[in-house]
Amino acid sequence: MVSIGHGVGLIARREFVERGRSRVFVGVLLGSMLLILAGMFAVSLLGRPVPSASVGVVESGSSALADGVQRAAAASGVQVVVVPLPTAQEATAAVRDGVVVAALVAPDTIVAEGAPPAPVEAVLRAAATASAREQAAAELGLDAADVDRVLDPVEVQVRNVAPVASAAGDPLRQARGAAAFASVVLLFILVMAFGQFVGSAVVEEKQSRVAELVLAKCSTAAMIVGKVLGIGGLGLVQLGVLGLTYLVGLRAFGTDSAGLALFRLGFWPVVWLAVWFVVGYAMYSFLFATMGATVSRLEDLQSLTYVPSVLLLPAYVVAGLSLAGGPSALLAPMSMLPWWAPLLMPFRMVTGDAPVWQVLVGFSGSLAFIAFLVWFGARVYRGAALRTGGRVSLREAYRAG
Amino acid sequence: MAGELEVAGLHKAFGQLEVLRDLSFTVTPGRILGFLGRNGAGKTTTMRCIFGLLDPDAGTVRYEGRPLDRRIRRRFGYMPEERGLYPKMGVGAQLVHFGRLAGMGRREAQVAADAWLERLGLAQRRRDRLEQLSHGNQQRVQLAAALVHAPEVLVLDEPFSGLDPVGVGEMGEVLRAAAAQGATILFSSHQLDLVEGLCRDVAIINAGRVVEHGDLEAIRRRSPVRQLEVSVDGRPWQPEGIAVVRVGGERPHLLVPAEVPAEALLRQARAQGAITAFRYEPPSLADLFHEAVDAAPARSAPQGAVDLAPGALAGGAPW
Repeated sequence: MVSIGHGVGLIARREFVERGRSRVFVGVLLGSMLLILAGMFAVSLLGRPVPSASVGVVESGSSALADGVQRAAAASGVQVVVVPLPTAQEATAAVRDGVVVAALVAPDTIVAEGAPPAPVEAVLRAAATASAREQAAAELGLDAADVDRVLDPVEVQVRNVAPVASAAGDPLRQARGAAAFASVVLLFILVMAFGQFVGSAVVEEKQSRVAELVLAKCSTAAMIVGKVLGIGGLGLVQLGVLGLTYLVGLRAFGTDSAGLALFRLGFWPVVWLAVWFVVGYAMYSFLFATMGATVSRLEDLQSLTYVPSVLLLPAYVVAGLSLAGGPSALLAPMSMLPWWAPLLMPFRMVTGDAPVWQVLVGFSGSLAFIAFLVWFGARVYRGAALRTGGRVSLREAYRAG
Repeated sequence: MAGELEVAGLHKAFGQLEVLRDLSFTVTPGRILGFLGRNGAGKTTTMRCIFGLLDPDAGTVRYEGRPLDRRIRRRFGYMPEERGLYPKMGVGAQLVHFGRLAGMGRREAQVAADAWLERLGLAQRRRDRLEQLSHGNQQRVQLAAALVHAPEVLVLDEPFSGLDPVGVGEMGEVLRAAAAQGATILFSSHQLDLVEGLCRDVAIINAGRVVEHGDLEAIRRRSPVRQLEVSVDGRPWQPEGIAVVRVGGERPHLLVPAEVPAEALLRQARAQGAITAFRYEPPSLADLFHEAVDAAPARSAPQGAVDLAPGALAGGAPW
């Protein structure tokens, strides 16, 4: 009790401050921010509606038809520039000369070279129809409200009576599934990135021989937990900054994208994703820390990092299959095992097919597994921290610890 | 202030290899203990056991009569044989970090770190990364990291190795000053002349056991041999009929049994001619070290040889 926890805060703080200040971290962060903004800017350029088209309108007395075209264009989100033309002949000439892409020469005639662009044609048709309808109504002595009442007497609503969970084609469910899968992939990327950070932090400390000095002052468990917390905090900061950059980009460039699906999940699913995120990060980081303790040089660590990736692979396969077809039979049992739970359980929770008891089993199992990894990692570290030649086997390190 | 550090009956084996075998000694506050032994004798293992980096298979380390725990150890300062700090971390921040790990408050640690950097002439380098410093300055920072929290007990593994003469002088001063303030200090070294100049106590270990331990002067006086250096008519002279050991190495000299009175040697030499130099004194620490380490059963002493075998004298030769 006396001092197991001593130093955790200090070690976490050191990792957070020193690593956060490092040129690599700041550089990667700024680079990612720029990349996100540049990407969103590029997408906004590509996805922007076609530049405004010029259309000709032959006015017969009043400017009502031109106004109608403007209104119809605004209603359907098409940018048009209306060019008033005095006669049908001049309008036809303007089309031929390419001054306008199409012209409404009479309330029932559109002139164009070849087929007019579909949005432009739709706008002109709508304007012509509206104008003719108004005229006919006026002849019958009806005002605009009467016309609306005749044309749209009722707004029909669609009520979905299919049970939500079993609606395989439910778009919300699919969106959630996609968002959950995206979060699983994101978790994997971040876990690998920051897990390696933790692993290399441990190796660096062995390599620079400072470990002996630190371990003379605090427990190995404190040292590992402090590292995982400090670097994890840095990971959250990075995630936060990049998320904020994304939101700023959304405001600035107005790009909508699949990434937004995450925010459409609602409050609690996002909270759950975040909780599982932390659980997953902690679990794999402690594993990386343990692996880091067994090697003496950074190069040796690289060759070990494939281990967690390979072990996580089945989770992707199962999650991917469940997203494509129905939930795989393996999904439920696998999501309850601590090793895969942080990846698969949030996926199931968001798509809505995880009973509470299974969530609790997965969650408590994961926490217990983390506790085990802290203990095991600390012991391995203790046995291996002072060995500085090549690789120490896990068993050897465990025995020495 | 500081108390007594007691290492009692330590055993430690790595697999088949027994590194420590019933190792016991005490370190007294205010006196510096030189911890001596050949490479592989178990010095570093002992220090790691003191800091809980290794668990001994048997035996205990006590401070002020109490077995050590992590809280007590935080009052200790350690300079490991494998030097190491954070290469990319600022020098000042590094010292503050280690001060705080030892339990100091932030303000207190900052004041102490600044004071140490000032004292070691590194105040200007406070903000530099450690890796930007020269080797010698990195060693100074390493010392400061061991001392920043004003430890009651100081354990240093080969603190003088790799230091230039100025660095050696500084290190010596720092240790003396700490001892004068009552700290309990233990350090290992192969530079026996340095140990002789700094330490009042020594513990010599061989193959995991203490073979000599106590007040250095007392050990020297009770040694069965004396150093003898005589020149007659300007030439080195050697007594006859006395079992003499010629010690080579850096400074060749003779060892004679302590029972032989200086007066007798002087008389014999005078009979040969005019004495131009005469030195007769207790053996140096180097002599004691060789005596202790070579005479130990683990090492086979050369049989019947006179050169380089002071251990042969232990039995007392007839003369």
